[in-house]
Amino acid sequence: MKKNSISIVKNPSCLSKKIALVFCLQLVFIWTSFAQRTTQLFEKEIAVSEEVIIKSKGPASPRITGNGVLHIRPVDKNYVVSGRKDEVYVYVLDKRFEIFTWDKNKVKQSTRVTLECETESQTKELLSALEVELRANAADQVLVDCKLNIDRFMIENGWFRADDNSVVLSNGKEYKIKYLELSTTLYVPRKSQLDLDTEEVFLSLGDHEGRLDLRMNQGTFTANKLNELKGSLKSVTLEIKELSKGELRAKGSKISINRADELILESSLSTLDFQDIGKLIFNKSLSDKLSCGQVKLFFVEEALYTSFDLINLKEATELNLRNCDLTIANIHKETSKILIKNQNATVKLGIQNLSSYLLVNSQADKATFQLPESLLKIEEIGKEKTYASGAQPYQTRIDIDCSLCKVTLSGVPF
Amino acid sequence: MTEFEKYLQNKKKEMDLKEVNPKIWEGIENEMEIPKTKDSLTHLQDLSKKETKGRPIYHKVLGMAAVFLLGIIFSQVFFTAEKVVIPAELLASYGFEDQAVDLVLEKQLQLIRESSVPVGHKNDLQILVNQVQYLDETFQSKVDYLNEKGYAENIAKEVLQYYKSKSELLDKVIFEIQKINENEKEFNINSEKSKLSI
Repeated sequence: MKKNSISIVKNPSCLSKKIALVFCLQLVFIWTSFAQRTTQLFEKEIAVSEEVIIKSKGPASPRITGNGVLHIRPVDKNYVVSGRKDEVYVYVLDKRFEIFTWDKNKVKQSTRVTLECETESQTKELLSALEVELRANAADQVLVDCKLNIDRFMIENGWFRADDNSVVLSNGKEYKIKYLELSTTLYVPRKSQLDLDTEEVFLSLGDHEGRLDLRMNQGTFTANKLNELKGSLKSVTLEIKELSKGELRAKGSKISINRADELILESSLSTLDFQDIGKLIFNKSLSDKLSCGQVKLFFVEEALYTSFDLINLKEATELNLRNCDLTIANIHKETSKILIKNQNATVKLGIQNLSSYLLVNSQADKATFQLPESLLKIEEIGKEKTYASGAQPYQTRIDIDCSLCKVTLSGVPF
Repeated sequence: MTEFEKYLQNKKKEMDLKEVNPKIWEGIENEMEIPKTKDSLTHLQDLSKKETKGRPIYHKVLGMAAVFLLGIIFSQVFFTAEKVVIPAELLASYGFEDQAVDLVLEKQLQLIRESSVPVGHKNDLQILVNQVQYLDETFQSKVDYLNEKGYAENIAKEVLQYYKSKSELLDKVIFEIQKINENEKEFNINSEKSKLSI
């Protein structure tokens, strides 16, 4: 040791050579350690009936066990698990779950695995043991598991013990690993039934003609064209371009639908942005924000503190509201009935397209009304006042029962 | 051997007593100092003090180690309790001016606590106020994560979105309280008033 140190001091060029050598060795070590990472695509395709039920929990919610320090958190669109060193990822589970639809009566699961074990032979051994478990049961159901046949992911460490990571397969066999990354894509028949129950997943679905049962807790869902959707959403962002029939329960969510034939909602604390809806029904609404381009039929069973902002109403509406501000900018001339029950609210109705209509104000003493000059009072019984415009028979009847309200009926667009 | 010694030898058996006279033992006990229990403990303590006087370094080392350990514990507590600093640009993108987001929310909550609402509208407003609980429960784990593990952009964004939603909800409650009170005033309704539970 002493001799070496003397020689280093005496010969600085030797020192730089040694540093360079150490640096090169480190590079080689890093290169060789990354070189062990192997990516392989696991695919399986099975024949199914056209209306098979496909169930999946998506890529999140793996079974992770740990003894020691364990970090689990979302990074970008991944679900990342690390041990003692937060920045050294052990498991990276892709939270994006793409489901494509096709005309084949087949279900295909495609899972990309990137793996690194202690040695290359261990990597190869584990890769050969992994498989896609995809089979239809007697009830014509297919269960899709995005984590292949891995039963659990483990991380163990301690004060004086480095990370000891392993996965246990469903057959009970345990494999030591250094790094594991999983990402899954699914292909299903267009008319299949989908039953998805996910958490913090970025889910996208191709054009689908079957029924979709969707239970989501956080995350996003996007689809182009769907037939039937029954959804339960908590803090979810949902975007659909076309939907035949939807029944949604939503809380703290952001829902955007371009076109739907029928939509039934029960929601709270949600932002709802619709373009063109045939029949829109709110069973319950609490503190939502609705913005809708066009609706034919619009019914609200019960709403509290929600703001309704409609541009076009085409046929009829019946609204049972409390403390809900309402704007219908343009009531179509063929609209037959408008029934509004409300309190403590601002109500604005654009009646510029109505040729003949009857207005009944049931709370004349507890509301202020701003009415067009052309409107004539034809009757007053107690606190109920009736106005009319145009010739009989009246095309539209407007009933407003709104105490502590400021109501504006405008002959010009808002 | 003297005459006296011969006498003692002959009378030895006669002079030996079969039992000790109890009076003799009483006399002995009265002269002895027998310490009471309390006194004996004090005596042991004194003894202990005398013995340990000879090992002060051992105690000093122990004390120093204890102080060192306490220092580590306090520093851990101090670091974990330290507020996470979120970049100003990120805060601004969610409409917050500085790090004191909690204070903004607390001011809103205080305003609601101090407000009175018409009794007839209290239930509806209470339903609205109770929605704050949903937001708190949903995002508490994210807030805990940020406080325990430190700044992480993804989590910070989710937490800021939660604060924003909560702030908007509290704003709505404040707005609705003002609205009903103003409307009642405008329509000359003098309802009984009560405070909300929050």
